Formats: sequence, structure tokens, C-alpha cells
Amino acid sequence: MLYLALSCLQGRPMSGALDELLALGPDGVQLTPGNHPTPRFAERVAAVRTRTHHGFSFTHARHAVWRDDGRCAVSSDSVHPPQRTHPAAATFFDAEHPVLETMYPGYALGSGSELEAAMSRGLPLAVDVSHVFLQREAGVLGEATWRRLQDYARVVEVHVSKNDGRTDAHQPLTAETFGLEWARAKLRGGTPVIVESYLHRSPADARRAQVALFDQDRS
Amino acid sequence: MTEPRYTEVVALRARSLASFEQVAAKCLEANPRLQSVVLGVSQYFADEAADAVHESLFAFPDREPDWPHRCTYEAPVPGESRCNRCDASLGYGELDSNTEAVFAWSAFCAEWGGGEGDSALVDPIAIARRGAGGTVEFELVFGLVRPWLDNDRVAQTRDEETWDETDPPKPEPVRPPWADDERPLLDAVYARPLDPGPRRVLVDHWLERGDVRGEFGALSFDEPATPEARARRDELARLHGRSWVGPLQPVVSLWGARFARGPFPSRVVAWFDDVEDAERLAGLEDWAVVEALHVASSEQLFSKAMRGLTELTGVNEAGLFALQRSGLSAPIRTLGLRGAVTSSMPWSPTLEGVETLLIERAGSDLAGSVALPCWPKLKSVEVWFALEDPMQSPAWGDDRATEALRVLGPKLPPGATLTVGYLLGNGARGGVVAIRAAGSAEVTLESRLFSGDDARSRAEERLRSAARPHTEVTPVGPPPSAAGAGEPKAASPSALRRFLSRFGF
Repeated sequence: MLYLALSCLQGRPMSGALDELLALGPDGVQLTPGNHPTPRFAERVAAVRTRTHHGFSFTHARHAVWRDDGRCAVSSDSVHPPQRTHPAAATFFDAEHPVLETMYPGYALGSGSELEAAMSRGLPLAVDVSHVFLQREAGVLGEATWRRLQDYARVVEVHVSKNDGRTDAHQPLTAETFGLEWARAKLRGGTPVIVESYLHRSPADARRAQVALFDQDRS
Repeated sequence: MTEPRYTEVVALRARSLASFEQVAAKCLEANPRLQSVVLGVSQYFADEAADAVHESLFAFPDREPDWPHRCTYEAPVPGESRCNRCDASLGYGELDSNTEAVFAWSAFCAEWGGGEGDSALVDPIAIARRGAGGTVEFELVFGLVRPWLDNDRVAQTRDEETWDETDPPKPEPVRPPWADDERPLLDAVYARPLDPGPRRVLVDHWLERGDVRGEFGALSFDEPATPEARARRDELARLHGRSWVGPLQPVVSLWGARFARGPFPSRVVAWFDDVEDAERLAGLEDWAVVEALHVASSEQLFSKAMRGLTELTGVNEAGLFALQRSGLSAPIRTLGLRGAVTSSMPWSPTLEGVETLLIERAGSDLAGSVALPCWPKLKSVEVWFALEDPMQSPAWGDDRATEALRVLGPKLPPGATLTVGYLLGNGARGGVVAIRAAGSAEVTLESRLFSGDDARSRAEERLRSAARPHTEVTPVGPPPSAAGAGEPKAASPSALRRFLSRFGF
């Protein structure tokens, strides 16, 4: 299934963002933090195939995710691990939590060694290929670990967007975007893929082109 | 916190601008070479929605700062040089980037997506310019580009939700119910909304009762003569203005209301999307006193109650249909269209008196504009293109101007003028690219916010080439000060206060 993240139109009213994204024809929408709550959005979205991510809230722009003691405060389908400076960073790994996403330096699971540890423990992972690219460009993720991650059996979600290797810019995808071919293969294999590119400024045809990149991979 | 959140948001904006005023004045005093200082904002969309809004300060040796702006240390805009004259050492603004500035300025930030550490994504909020006699002139230069983020509800919901019990939203300030002796006076105001007579009667009534609305009203028909009176007027608007919006609050943005000729919302920015009971709200009698309405939402609603409108902007194609259906009859002299103009647009009879037509964010295709009606009183057509990318080459603006001149120039009625310009990401008017008078082959080029002398010369040459052989370009001198007041005025800190009063501070 191909999903578009609500954060493709981050900051917009939830209902309006949902309408614009559904018009592009995805299989579903990932509910993400950062949009402006609108009345009866929960009712509206009930008829849509959804996944939830990190601190999504129907009533606020975002919900806090990690308590200081390492417990996770949300039950989303996937969450970001805490930042390195967060008190939860020391203990979250052993606490009960939703599926964790691969991150970049500054966060837990932001380096190859941490990804190796997570895979060795058999944790289900949401792989964000743009974050993987940031790790690669930062020199903290080796080729062998990236290969292991691609073959890892417990990849339950794949997130895709483009960046320049320096910041998590969520740029629109191009055919050459790092990790896109692997993401498409995962989609063909049945793993949910979520497009997370910022589309605020993209004209209609460019938005449709983001979805069209996966046309041959959707069942 | 005991105050409604809206008060806090408005106060944050005032604090930010007051701080900018002080920093800019000190900067210009200490650096004779510098002529202007800009307060810019950019929003960084973070992956976890822990967004940040950065207030950045730049100083320039020119009165008109380079914009969109690229600092020396950044990659250049294609085909253009980087700015190598600015002074970015002033650093950042007053507000905390992750909390206060987000509350205060998100609604005025472009949706560029990024914004972290990239000056090209910074859009100007205010400009301070060196004035005569050691004074400083201040100008606010932005539009309200994300009005859905400028209401009381968003002030509640933007705080992070936690596992603790969340406080219920604080109610907006309520307008007192009309007393029996007020009602007939109010009816007279609503019946003749553009007539100051009934308004003065009602204001006098409030004055006799010691009602604060009377005090404001007495200060609001003409510009008060003393700084103290102006300050009092502005303070009353800041403290009580939101209550004066009354039942229109759910569809009127915090920043969007201005008050004139009594405690009545005379200029408002309205937002109807996802508003419960929007149809009923659009029909309320309170709209009668609104003279300038900017509809920022996709959903556009009009009613016969809006009979006092002289200026209607932000109208999309669906809005034109809604306007026609509403049967509204109002003395509309300024019409602003948003988005592409199409040949299927309906033109309500109430638009027959339009004198100024604004076309904003029309995109690159102006072909549908040939279907615009030639209203008999039309004197001015303005086309404002939206800058699609801060890295866009300035040649983009010239291309758009050339197309607008080609399509719309022949349609101008005698005596009318066509102005073509572009909007920055936050709705600020970035620059006028071309002006042409009907029946004239002459095209003039002006520059307001963008580009120093070199870029200006290049732009003139591009337009000259594009316009040949039918037109000649006549470069003109520096435009009037942005407040439209001609020669630079002596200004002082109170000048900013006066300016802010226009925006509800």
C-alpha cells in the first residue's frame, strides 16, 4: 500500500490537507503531527485507510511522545526514538514501545551501530531512507549495515523523501532519490511505503508525479 | 495564565516589533554606511512538528534591501550574484524560535518547507530605513498567508498535548449584548453603513454612558492630533478589539480585524473553511459595517448583509459564483481575484462599479483574462504573481510581466493603468516589475524591495529587450516610501506605534 503522509502538507488544516492528498490517489494517508486540527476530522478520516505516526493528535498539532522515564506515551504505528539529549534516551530501548524509525545523528537509532543492535534484537523497524541517507553522508552508516537493513525481515514500514545529505529537508522525490528503488521493491513485496515529501509549493502535476513514481509497484 | 491566548499572541508580535525597532535604530545610528534593516521570518517544518520560526535581522547599505536574499556564504540564485553587502551580524530577533515566534509569526511565514539556516527562505516582516534628521522609518511589509493559524483556537491547540489533563480552550472575549436603547441606534448604523452620521450618534450614546466603545469611537473618526491620543486609541483596540468583532469571531482572524469610525470591524480577513455553521455566520447582520473584506479560505460565502463592502479581495472562482448567488448589492470599488482567471467566471452586477482590479497568484497562464469584463469605471488593473521559488531567477518576473502586458494591455480602457508585480512567499509585495498606461507605448520599471543597483539594471535591460519593439522602458527613480507617503518622513519610535495601530496592536 502506498500512503501519503499528512505532513506532505504540514501546517495546513487537517481536513483540507486530507482532501488534497486523497485527490492524488494514494491507497491511504499516514496521520502525522504538525497539522492544524479541524472539527470532526476523526469522523472524516474514518472512511480512509490510515496509519498513524509519532505524536499525531486529533486535537492538537502534536502529542508528546516520550516520558522522561523512557515510556512511550502514544500508540502510533511507528514513532521516532528520542533525541540523544532526552532523558528517555537512556532507557526507552528496553521499555515497551511502538515500531521505531531509523533516525539520523542526534537521535537514538541514528547510527549504524545502533541499527545493528536493533536488528540483532529483532526489533521491527520503520526505515526512513532519507534518514539512512543522512547517516550515510555523515559517515556513521557503513555499506554492510545498509545492506543488512535492506535485507532485514522485520522492516514493517518504509518512509521516503529526498534531502541533500545535510538536513532532513523532505524534498519531493526524483527517480534518482537515494533508496527509492529499494522502497519500490518493498512496496511490491507488500510493505507499506509512505511518501513524506513537502508538497506545499508543488503544482498539481508535480504532486501527481510523486505518486506516479510508484504506479508500477502497486497491486 | 489568565488572559485569553489571543492577547498573548498579539502581545508577542508587538514585543517582537518593538525589539526590532530598538535594535534597528541602534544599528543605523552606529553604522552610517547602513541605510536599512530588515526583520525577516522563516518557518522550519520539523519532522516531529517541533517547528521553529526564526526571526533574522539583516542590515543593508541601500534603502531598498535585496530580496529574495542570498548571503555571501550561500549558493547563489541561478543567474544572479549573491548579496555581498549585507550585514547579517545582527543575529536573531527577540522571540524564542521554538515557542514564542511560532505562536507569533507562523501565520505570516511562507510554506517553503525548509527554512533552517537558509536566508533565501526568509521573508521580510518589517523594514527600518534611515530617515531624515537621524530618524528611522518603519514599515510592515507582509501579508497574512496562513490565516488558519491566526485564530483563537490555534492558539490553544498548538501547545503540545501531553498525558496530563489539558486545560479547556479559553473563551474569546464576548461583546456585550445590545441594550434596548442601543438597538435602534445600531439599526441605523447597519441600514446606512457608509454614513458616519448614525455611527457618531451611537458613539455619543456610549460616551455619555462612559462606555469604552465611546472613548475609542471618539478617537477613530479622524487621526488623533496627539501621540497620547493615538496611543490610547491603539491601546483600546488592542485590549477590546477582539470583543468588538463579536459573533464574527469564528471566521475572522486575530490579525485580520481593523477598526474605524467607531468600534466596528471595518477591515477583516475571513476564513470559512472547516468552520461550523459557516453559512449562518456569513449571513449575520454584523457584516454590514465591514467595508473591506479579504476572503482567505477556499470556501467563500457572501450574503446581502455585506452591503457596506467597498473592497472585496481574495475571491476565487467559486467565490464569484457564491457572490452572484448571494444577490449582494454593495458599492464595491476594489475587487481582488485570487488564482487563475477563467472564461467561465460569472460577474455579479454588484461589480459594475469596480475601479481597481487586483489579480493575485494567477499562475503563468493569463489567457482566461481576455474574458474579463470592461467595467465602465475601471481605472487600474494590478497583476501580482506569486514567487514560486525563492531561488527563482529574477528573469522569471520579467517573463511574467511581458505576458501580462501582452494579454491585458490591449484590454485597458482609456485612462487606466496596468501594474505588474510579484509577491514574496509571505505575501509581501516584492516589487513592481512594470507599469503601463492605456494607450501608451511606454512601460516604466520600478523596484521596491528586491535587488540592489546591479540587479536592477539587469532587470531593466531584460524588460527592455522583452518589450521591444512595441514599447520603450523608462527606468524611474526610487519609489516613494513604502507607506506611500512620498518623500521620506521624519519618524520616531512612535511612528511604529502608529503603524501598528492599523494592525490592531
